[in-house]
Amino acid sequence: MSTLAAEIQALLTTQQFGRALRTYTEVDSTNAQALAWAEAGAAQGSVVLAEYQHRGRGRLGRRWEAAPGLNLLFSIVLRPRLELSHLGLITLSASVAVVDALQQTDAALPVAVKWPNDIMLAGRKCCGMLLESSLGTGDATVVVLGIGLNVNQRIFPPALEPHATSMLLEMGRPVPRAPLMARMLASLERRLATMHQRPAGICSDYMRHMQSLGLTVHVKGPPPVTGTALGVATTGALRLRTPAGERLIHAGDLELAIAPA
Amino acid sequence: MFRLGLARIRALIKVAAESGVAEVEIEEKGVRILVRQQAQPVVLQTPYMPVVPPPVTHAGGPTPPGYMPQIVPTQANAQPAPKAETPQEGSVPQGTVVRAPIVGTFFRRSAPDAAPYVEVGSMVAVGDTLCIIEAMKNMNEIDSEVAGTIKEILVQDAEAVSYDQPLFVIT
Repeated sequence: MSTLAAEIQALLTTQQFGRALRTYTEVDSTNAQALAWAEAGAAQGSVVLAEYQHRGRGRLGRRWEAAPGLNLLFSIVLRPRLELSHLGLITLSASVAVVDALQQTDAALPVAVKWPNDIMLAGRKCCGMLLESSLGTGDATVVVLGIGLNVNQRIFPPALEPHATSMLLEMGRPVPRAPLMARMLASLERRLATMHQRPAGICSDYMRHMQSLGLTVHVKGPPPVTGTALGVATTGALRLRTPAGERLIHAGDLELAIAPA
Repeated sequence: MFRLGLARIRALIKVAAESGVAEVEIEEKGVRILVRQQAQPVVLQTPYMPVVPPPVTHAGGPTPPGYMPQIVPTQANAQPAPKAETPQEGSVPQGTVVRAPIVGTFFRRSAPDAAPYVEVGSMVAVGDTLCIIEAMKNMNEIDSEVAGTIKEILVQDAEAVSYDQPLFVIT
Protein backbone atom coordinates (compact mmCIF):
# COMPACT_ATOMS: atom_id res chain seq x y z
CA MET A 1 0.00 0.00 0.00
CA SER A 2 1.23 3.46 -0.86
CA THR A 3 2.08 5.97 1.84
CA LEU A 4 -0.84 8.17 0.77
CA ALA A 5 -3.28 5.25 0.96
CA ALA A 6 -2.03 4.27 4.42
CA GLU A 7 -2.38 7.86 5.64
CA ILE A 8 -5.91 8.09 4.24
CA GLN A 9 -7.04 4.84 5.81
CA ALA A 10 -5.61 5.86 9.17
CA LEU A 11 -7.79 8.99 9.06
CA LEU A 12 -11.03 7.43 7.79
CA THR A 13 -14.20 8.08 9.76
CA THR A 14 -16.51 6.35 7.31
CA GLN A 15 -18.43 3.09 7.52
CA GLN A 16 -17.87 2.00 3.92
CA PHE A 17 -16.30 4.68 1.77
CA GLY A 18 -12.60 4.10 1.29
CA ARG A 19 -12.49 0.99 3.46
CA ALA A 20 -11.65 -0.93 0.31
CA LEU A 21 -8.98 1.13 -1.41
CA ARG A 22 -6.79 0.42 -4.41
CA THR A 23 -4.03 2.85 -5.26
CA TYR A 24 -1.95 3.18 -8.39
CA THR A 25 1.05 5.31 -9.20
CA GLU A 26 -0.18 5.51 -12.77
CA VAL A 27 -3.31 4.13 -14.32
CA ASP A 28 -5.24 4.45 -17.58
CA SER A 29 -8.38 5.81 -15.91
CA THR A 30 -9.59 5.34 -12.35
CA ASN A 31 -13.15 5.07 -13.69
CA ALA A 32 -12.14 2.19 -15.97
CA GLN A 33 -10.45 0.41 -13.06
CA ALA A 34 -13.43 1.01 -10.77
CA LEU A 35 -15.89 -0.25 -13.39
CA ALA A 36 -13.87 -3.44 -13.78
CA TRP A 37 -13.68 -3.83 -10.00
CA ALA A 38 -17.44 -3.25 -9.70
CA GLU A 39 -18.06 -5.97 -12.27
CA ALA A 40 -15.94 -8.27 -10.12
CA GLY A 41 -18.14 -7.47 -7.12
CA ALA A 42 -16.58 -4.42 -5.45
CA ALA A 43 -18.74 -3.17 -2.58
CA GLN A 44 -20.41 0.22 -2.30
CA GLY A 45 -17.78 2.80 -1.39
CA SER A 46 -14.78 0.94 -2.83
CA VAL A 47 -12.24 3.49 -4.06
CA VAL A 48 -9.62 3.50 -6.80
CA LEU A 49 -7.04 6.25 -6.31
CA ALA A 50 -4.25 7.18 -8.71
CA GLU A 51 -1.36 9.61 -8.63
CA TYR A 52 -1.56 9.97 -12.41
CA GLN A 53 -3.99 8.94 -15.15
CA HIS A 54 -2.65 8.67 -18.65
CA ARG A 55 -6.15 8.32 -20.09
CA GLY A 56 -8.12 10.42 -17.64
CA ARG A 57 -11.64 10.83 -18.92
CA GLY A 58 -13.79 13.88 -19.15
CA ARG A 59 -17.18 14.35 -20.75
CA LEU A 60 -17.38 13.18 -24.38
CA GLY A 61 -13.94 11.64 -24.28
CA ARG A 62 -12.20 14.88 -23.34
CA ARG A 63 -8.93 14.37 -21.53
CA TRP A 64 -8.60 15.28 -17.90
CA GLU A 65 -5.22 16.91 -17.31
CA ALA A 66 -3.66 16.59 -13.89
CA ALA A 67 -0.02 16.66 -12.87
CA PRO A 68 1.21 13.57 -10.98
CA GLY A 69 1.40 13.49 -7.19
CA LEU A 70 -0.28 16.83 -6.52
CA ASN A 71 -3.99 16.26 -6.79
CA LEU A 72 -6.70 13.79 -5.81
CA LEU A 73 -7.86 11.57 -8.65
CA PHE A 74 -10.20 8.81 -7.60
CA SER A 75 -13.31 6.84 -8.46
CA ILE A 76 -15.88 5.36 -6.11
CA VAL A 77 -18.11 2.36 -6.73
CA LEU A 78 -21.75 3.18 -5.91
CA ARG A 79 -24.70 0.84 -5.77
CA PRO A 80 -27.57 3.31 -5.43
CA ARG A 81 -31.14 2.35 -4.61
CA LEU A 82 -32.64 4.90 -6.96
CA GLU A 83 -35.05 4.85 -9.85
CA LEU A 84 -33.09 5.23 -13.08
CA SER A 85 -34.84 8.55 -13.65
CA HIS A 86 -33.27 9.87 -10.44
CA LEU A 87 -29.64 8.84 -10.99
CA GLY A 88 -28.92 12.54 -11.51
CA LEU A 89 -29.34 12.97 -7.75
CA ILE A 90 -25.91 11.34 -7.42
CA THR A 91 -24.45 14.18 -9.45
CA LEU A 92 -26.06 16.77 -7.18
CA SER A 93 -25.14 14.93 -3.96
CA ALA A 94 -21.52 14.47 -4.96
CA SER A 95 -21.26 18.16 -5.83
CA VAL A 96 -22.60 19.19 -2.45
CA ALA A 97 -20.25 16.71 -0.74
CA VAL A 98 -17.18 18.18 -2.44
CA VAL A 99 -18.32 21.68 -1.47
CA ASP A 100 -18.64 20.47 2.16
CA ALA A 101 -15.11 19.09 2.15
CA LEU A 102 -13.62 22.24 0.61
CA GLN A 103 -15.39 24.49 3.10
CA GLN A 104 -14.28 22.28 6.00
CA THR A 105 -10.72 22.79 4.76
CA ASP A 106 -11.07 26.56 4.50
CA ALA A 107 -14.39 28.22 5.23
CA ALA A 108 -13.29 31.30 3.29
CA LEU A 109 -12.90 29.46 -0.02
CA PRO A 110 -15.18 31.06 -2.64
CA VAL A 111 -16.83 27.78 -3.70
CA ALA A 112 -19.64 27.52 -6.24
CA VAL A 113 -21.14 24.74 -8.34
CA LYS A 114 -21.57 25.06 -12.06
CA TRP A 115 -24.38 22.78 -13.22
CA PRO A 116 -24.25 19.93 -13.26
CA ASN A 117 -21.09 19.15 -11.26
CA ASP A 118 -18.13 21.41 -11.90
CA ILE A 119 -16.79 22.82 -8.64
CA MET A 120 -15.51 26.35 -9.09
CA LEU A 121 -13.18 28.44 -6.94
CA ALA A 122 -13.36 32.16 -7.69
CA GLY A 123 -14.94 31.39 -11.07
CA ARG A 124 -12.35 28.83 -12.17
CA LYS A 125 -12.76 25.09 -12.22
CA CYS A 126 -10.93 23.16 -9.51
CA CYS A 127 -12.85 19.91 -9.57
CA GLY A 128 -14.55 17.88 -12.26
CA MET A 129 -16.59 14.71 -12.07
CA LEU A 130 -17.59 12.06 -14.53
CA LEU A 131 -20.05 9.34 -13.69
CA GLU A 132 -20.28 6.14 -15.66
CA SER A 133 -22.82 3.39 -15.36
CA SER A 134 -24.03 0.42 -17.25
CA LEU A 135 -27.77 -0.02 -17.74
CA GLY A 136 -29.82 -2.66 -19.38
CA THR A 137 -28.37 -5.95 -18.28
CA GLY A 138 -31.03 -6.40 -15.63
CA ASP A 139 -28.58 -6.32 -12.72
CA ALA A 140 -28.76 -3.83 -9.88
CA THR A 141 -27.49 -0.43 -10.98
CA VAL A 142 -23.81 0.26 -10.50
CA VAL A 143 -22.51 3.77 -10.91
CA VAL A 144 -18.86 4.76 -10.81
CA LEU A 145 -18.27 8.31 -9.63
CA GLY A 146 -14.95 9.71 -10.85
CA ILE A 147 -13.61 12.87 -9.21
CA GLY A 148 -10.57 14.92 -10.11
CA LEU A 149 -9.75 17.65 -7.59
CA ASN A 150 -6.89 20.08 -8.21
CA VAL A 151 -5.23 20.33 -4.82
CA ASN A 152 -1.61 21.46 -5.04
CA GLN A 153 -1.12 22.01 -8.77
CA ARG A 154 0.46 25.40 -9.53
CA ILE A 155 0.83 25.31 -13.30
CA PHE A 156 -1.72 24.25 -15.89
CA PRO A 157 -1.37 23.65 -19.63
CA PRO A 158 -1.84 26.93 -21.55
CA ALA A 159 -5.22 25.89 -22.96
CA LEU A 160 -6.59 25.25 -19.47
CA GLU A 161 -4.79 28.00 -17.57
CA PRO A 162 -7.48 30.73 -17.96
CA HIS A 163 -10.21 28.38 -16.72
CA ALA A 164 -8.49 26.17 -14.11
CA THR A 165 -7.35 26.65 -10.57
CA SER A 166 -6.37 24.63 -7.51
CA MET A 167 -6.89 24.84 -3.77
CA LEU A 168 -3.26 25.88 -3.37
CA LEU A 169 -3.64 28.76 -5.82
CA GLU A 170 -6.74 30.04 -4.03
CA MET A 171 -5.55 29.45 -0.45
CA GLY A 172 -1.93 30.42 -0.94
CA ARG A 173 -0.62 27.34 0.82
CA PRO A 174 -0.32 23.63 0.08
CA VAL A 175 -3.06 21.36 1.35
CA PRO A 176 -2.22 17.97 2.91
CA ARG A 177 -3.96 15.45 0.70
CA ALA A 178 -4.66 12.56 3.08
CA PRO A 179 -6.82 14.52 5.57
CA LEU A 180 -8.59 16.20 2.66
CA MET A 181 -9.34 12.83 1.06
CA ALA A 182 -10.64 11.47 4.38
CA ARG A 183 -12.95 14.52 4.64
CA MET A 184 -14.11 14.04 1.04
CA LEU A 185 -14.97 10.39 1.67
CA ALA A 186 -16.82 11.25 4.89
CA SER A 187 -18.89 13.96 3.21
CA LEU A 188 -19.57 11.79 0.16
CA GLU A 189 -20.76 8.93 2.34
CA ARG A 190 -23.01 11.26 4.33
CA ARG A 191 -24.49 13.13 1.36
CA LEU A 192 -25.04 10.01 -0.73
CA ALA A 193 -26.92 8.47 2.19
CA THR A 194 -29.02 11.64 2.58
CA MET A 195 -29.81 11.47 -1.11
CA HIS A 196 -31.97 8.42 -0.51
CA GLN A 197 -33.74 9.88 2.51
CA ARG A 198 -34.16 13.57 1.71
CA PRO A 199 -33.65 14.32 -1.98
CA ALA A 200 -35.28 17.74 -1.61
CA GLY A 201 -32.66 18.65 1.02
CA ILE A 202 -29.87 17.81 -1.42
CA CYS A 203 -31.50 20.03 -4.04
CA SER A 204 -31.85 22.99 -1.69
CA ASP A 205 -28.24 22.66 -0.46
CA TYR A 206 -27.09 22.38 -4.08
CA MET A 207 -28.97 25.53 -5.06
CA ARG A 208 -27.39 27.50 -2.21
CA HIS A 209 -24.07 27.02 -3.99
CA MET A 210 -25.32 27.17 -7.56
CA GLN A 211 -23.26 29.63 -9.55
CA SER A 212 -25.90 30.58 -12.08
CA LEU A 213 -29.07 30.59 -9.97
CA GLY A 214 -31.36 33.35 -11.18
CA LEU A 215 -29.02 34.30 -14.03
CA THR A 216 -29.40 33.96 -17.75
CA VAL A 217 -27.49 30.98 -19.05
CA HIS A 218 -26.91 29.38 -22.39
CA VAL A 219 -26.85 25.61 -22.72
CA LYS A 220 -24.87 24.64 -25.79
CA GLY A 221 -27.07 21.63 -26.29
CA PRO A 222 -27.96 19.94 -28.50
CA PRO A 223 -30.33 21.60 -28.89
CA PRO A 224 -29.03 24.99 -27.69
CA VAL A 225 -31.28 26.71 -25.15
CA THR A 226 -31.08 30.07 -23.40
CA GLY A 227 -33.05 30.93 -20.31
CA THR A 228 -33.00 31.86 -16.65
CA ALA A 229 -31.68 29.20 -14.27
CA LEU A 230 -34.47 28.49 -11.78
CA GLY A 231 -32.74 25.67 -9.92
CA VAL A 232 -32.61 21.90 -10.13
CA ALA A 233 -35.24 19.18 -10.03
CA THR A 234 -34.84 16.05 -7.86
CA THR A 235 -33.85 14.20 -11.02
CA GLY A 236 -30.80 16.49 -11.21
CA ALA A 237 -32.16 18.28 -14.27
CA LEU A 238 -31.59 22.02 -14.64
CA ARG A 239 -34.82 24.03 -14.50
CA LEU A 240 -34.69 26.78 -17.06
CA ARG A 241 -37.27 29.50 -17.69
CA THR A 242 -37.41 30.20 -21.40
CA PRO A 243 -39.74 32.33 -23.54
CA ALA A 244 -41.52 29.08 -24.43
CA GLY A 245 -42.05 28.13 -20.78
CA GLU A 246 -40.09 26.14 -18.22
CA ARG A 247 -37.72 23.56 -19.64
CA LEU A 248 -35.85 20.72 -17.95
CA ILE A 249 -32.30 20.29 -19.21
CA HIS A 250 -30.62 16.91 -18.74
CA ALA A 251 -27.32 17.31 -20.56
CA GLY A 252 -25.11 19.93 -22.17
CA ASP A 253 -22.39 22.45 -21.42
CA LEU A 254 -23.54 25.50 -19.56
CA GLU A 255 -22.20 29.00 -19.97
CA LEU A 256 -23.22 32.26 -18.42
CA ALA A 257 -24.85 34.22 -21.23
CA ILE A 258 -25.24 37.65 -19.64
CA ALA A 259 -23.62 39.14 -16.57
CA PRO A 260 -25.91 39.63 -13.57
CA ALA A 261 -27.79 42.92 -13.54
CA MET B 1 -64.31 -19.18 -21.26
CA PHE B 2 -62.98 -16.36 -19.11
CA ARG B 3 -62.05 -13.38 -21.22
CA LEU B 4 -59.69 -10.62 -20.28
CA GLY B 5 -61.45 -7.31 -20.58
CA LEU B 6 -59.28 -4.44 -21.77
CA ALA B 7 -60.82 -2.27 -19.08
CA ARG B 8 -59.66 -4.72 -16.39
CA ILE B 9 -56.14 -4.70 -17.71
CA ARG B 10 -56.12 -0.90 -17.94
CA ALA B 11 -57.37 -0.67 -14.37
CA LEU B 12 -54.62 -2.98 -13.18
CA ILE B 13 -51.97 -0.99 -15.02
CA LYS B 14 -53.32 2.18 -13.41
CA VAL B 15 -53.10 0.65 -9.93
CA ALA B 16 -49.53 -0.44 -10.58
CA ALA B 17 -48.54 2.96 -11.94
CA GLU B 18 -50.09 4.95 -9.12
CA SER B 19 -48.82 2.76 -6.33
CA GLY B 20 -45.30 2.66 -7.72
CA VAL B 21 -44.99 -1.06 -6.97
CA ALA B 22 -42.78 -3.15 -9.19
CA GLU B 23 -45.39 -5.86 -9.84
CA VAL B 24 -49.10 -6.48 -9.49
CA GLU B 25 -50.51 -9.92 -10.10
CA ILE B 26 -54.07 -11.24 -10.06
CA GLU B 27 -55.32 -14.70 -10.84
CA GLU B 28 -58.87 -15.57 -11.80
CA LYS B 29 -60.39 -18.62 -13.42
CA GLY B 30 -57.11 -20.05 -14.55
CA VAL B 31 -55.74 -16.85 -16.01
CA ARG B 32 -52.96 -14.96 -14.30
CA ILE B 33 -52.34 -11.31 -15.15
CA LEU B 34 -48.99 -9.90 -14.18
CA VAL B 35 -48.23 -6.20 -14.57
CA ARG B 36 -44.58 -5.52 -14.08
CA GLN B 37 -42.83 -2.15 -14.23
CA GLN B 38 -40.09 -2.34 -16.78
CA ALA B 39 -38.76 -0.32 -19.67
CA GLN B 40 -38.16 -3.09 -22.17
CA PRO B 41 -40.87 -4.36 -24.44
CA VAL B 42 -42.76 -7.44 -23.34
CA VAL B 43 -44.24 -10.01 -25.67
CA LEU B 44 -47.79 -10.93 -24.83
CA GLN B 45 -48.28 -14.67 -24.59
CA THR B 46 -51.85 -15.78 -24.28
CA PRO B 47 -54.29 -17.92 -26.21
CA TYR B 48 -56.89 -15.19 -25.78
CA MET B 49 -55.23 -12.17 -27.33
CA PRO B 50 -53.33 -11.59 -30.54
CA VAL B 51 -49.61 -11.15 -30.12
CA VAL B 52 -48.66 -7.61 -30.98
CA PRO B 53 -45.08 -6.40 -30.97
CA PRO B 54 -44.69 -3.04 -29.23
CA PRO B 55 -45.02 -0.09 -31.55
CA VAL B 56 -41.85 1.70 -32.62
CA THR B 57 -43.20 5.13 -31.94
CA HIS B 58 -44.53 5.81 -28.48
CA ALA B 59 -48.16 6.73 -29.00
CA GLY B 60 -48.74 8.10 -25.51
CA GLY B 61 -52.30 7.59 -24.31
CA PRO B 62 -53.50 6.46 -20.93
CA THR B 63 -50.91 3.75 -20.36
CA PRO B 64 -47.98 5.13 -18.37
CA PRO B 65 -44.68 4.39 -20.10
CA GLY B 66 -42.90 1.43 -18.65
CA TYR B 67 -46.00 -0.46 -17.57
CA MET B 68 -46.68 -3.26 -19.99
CA PRO B 69 -49.10 -6.07 -19.21
CA GLN B 70 -47.69 -9.56 -19.27
CA ILE B 71 -50.34 -12.22 -19.46
CA VAL B 72 -49.32 -15.76 -18.71
CA PRO B 73 -51.61 -18.80 -18.87
CA THR B 74 -51.54 -20.76 -15.64
CA GLN B 75 -51.32 -24.53 -15.42
CA ALA B 76 -55.10 -24.95 -15.17
CA ASN B 77 -55.64 -23.78 -18.73
CA ALA B 78 -52.14 -24.09 -20.08
CA GLN B 79 -52.11 -24.88 -23.75
CA PRO B 80 -49.27 -25.14 -26.20
CA ALA B 81 -48.00 -21.60 -26.57
CA PRO B 82 -49.01 -20.16 -29.90
CA LYS B 83 -46.36 -18.90 -32.27
CA ALA B 84 -46.02 -15.15 -32.36
CA GLU B 85 -48.20 -13.85 -35.11
CA THR B 86 -46.59 -11.96 -37.94
CA PRO B 87 -47.51 -8.29 -37.76
CA GLN B 88 -49.61 -6.91 -40.54
CA GLU B 89 -47.74 -5.63 -43.55
CA GLY B 90 -46.61 -2.05 -43.32
CA SER B 91 -47.20 -1.83 -39.58
CA VAL B 92 -44.25 -2.04 -37.23
CA PRO B 93 -40.84 -3.64 -37.72
CA GLN B 94 -40.28 -7.12 -36.43
CA GLY B 95 -37.71 -7.69 -33.75
CA THR B 96 -36.89 -6.30 -30.37
CA VAL B 97 -37.20 -2.56 -29.92
CA VAL B 98 -34.60 -1.16 -27.53
CA ARG B 99 -35.98 1.86 -25.72
CA ALA B 100 -34.36 4.66 -23.72
CA PRO B 101 -34.46 3.74 -20.01
CA ILE B 102 -33.72 7.37 -19.07
CA VAL B 103 -34.01 10.90 -20.44
CA GLY B 104 -30.79 12.35 -21.83
CA THR B 105 -28.57 12.80 -24.84
CA PHE B 106 -27.98 9.82 -27.11
CA PHE B 107 -24.42 9.11 -28.23
CA ARG B 108 -23.43 6.35 -30.61
CA ARG B 109 -19.75 6.48 -29.63
CA SER B 110 -17.69 6.93 -26.47
CA ALA B 111 -15.83 9.96 -27.87
CA PRO B 112 -16.18 12.11 -31.00
CA ASP B 113 -13.23 10.37 -32.67
CA ALA B 114 -14.18 6.85 -31.59
CA ALA B 115 -15.95 4.30 -33.79
CA PRO B 116 -19.68 3.86 -33.15
CA TYR B 117 -20.57 1.04 -30.80
CA VAL B 118 -22.86 -0.47 -33.45
CA GLU B 119 -23.91 0.12 -37.04
CA VAL B 120 -26.92 -1.20 -38.95
CA GLY B 121 -26.00 -4.81 -39.68
CA SER B 122 -23.76 -5.22 -36.60
CA MET B 123 -24.14 -8.48 -34.73
CA VAL B 124 -24.63 -7.96 -30.99
CA ALA B 125 -24.51 -10.32 -28.04
CA VAL B 126 -26.30 -9.94 -24.71
CA GLY B 127 -24.41 -7.34 -22.69
CA ASP B 128 -22.81 -5.59 -25.66
CA THR B 129 -22.93 -1.82 -25.40
CA LEU B 130 -25.28 -0.23 -27.94
CA CYS B 131 -24.95 3.44 -27.08
CA ILE B 132 -24.52 5.97 -24.29
CA ILE B 133 -27.22 8.18 -22.88
CA GLU B 134 -25.83 11.12 -20.95
CA ALA B 135 -27.79 12.78 -18.21
CA MET B 136 -26.25 15.17 -15.68
CA LYS B 137 -22.75 14.14 -16.75
CA ASN B 138 -23.56 10.53 -16.01
CA MET B 139 -22.56 8.52 -19.07
CA ASN B 140 -24.94 5.57 -19.00
CA GLU B 141 -23.93 2.71 -21.23
CA ILE B 142 -27.01 1.00 -22.63
CA ASP B 143 -26.33 -2.68 -23.04
CA SER B 144 -28.23 -5.10 -25.23
CA GLU B 145 -30.53 -7.55 -23.49
CA VAL B 146 -30.86 -9.67 -26.60
CA ALA B 147 -28.53 -11.19 -29.16
CA GLY B 148 -29.12 -10.44 -32.82
CA THR B 149 -28.46 -8.02 -35.65
CA ILE B 150 -29.00 -4.28 -35.56
CA LYS B 151 -31.77 -3.71 -38.09
CA GLU B 152 -32.47 -0.03 -37.47
CA ILE B 153 -30.97 2.86 -35.54
CA LEU B 154 -33.85 5.21 -34.86
CA VAL B 155 -32.05 8.20 -33.30
CA GLN B 156 -29.36 10.55 -34.59
CA ASP B 157 -26.06 10.87 -32.76
CA ALA B 158 -26.08 13.58 -30.06
CA GLU B 159 -29.89 13.86 -30.19
CA ALA B 160 -31.94 14.39 -27.04
CA VAL B 161 -34.07 11.35 -26.21
CA SER B 162 -37.07 11.02 -23.95
CA TYR B 163 -37.95 8.19 -21.60
CA ASP B 164 -39.05 5.02 -23.41
CA GLN B 165 -38.18 6.43 -26.84
CA PRO B 166 -37.28 3.65 -29.31
CA LEU B 167 -33.56 3.66 -30.10
CA PHE B 168 -32.79 0.45 -31.99
CA VAL B 169 -34.50 -2.49 -33.61
CA ILE B 170 -32.66 -5.78 -33.19
CA THR B 171 -33.68 -8.90 -35.11
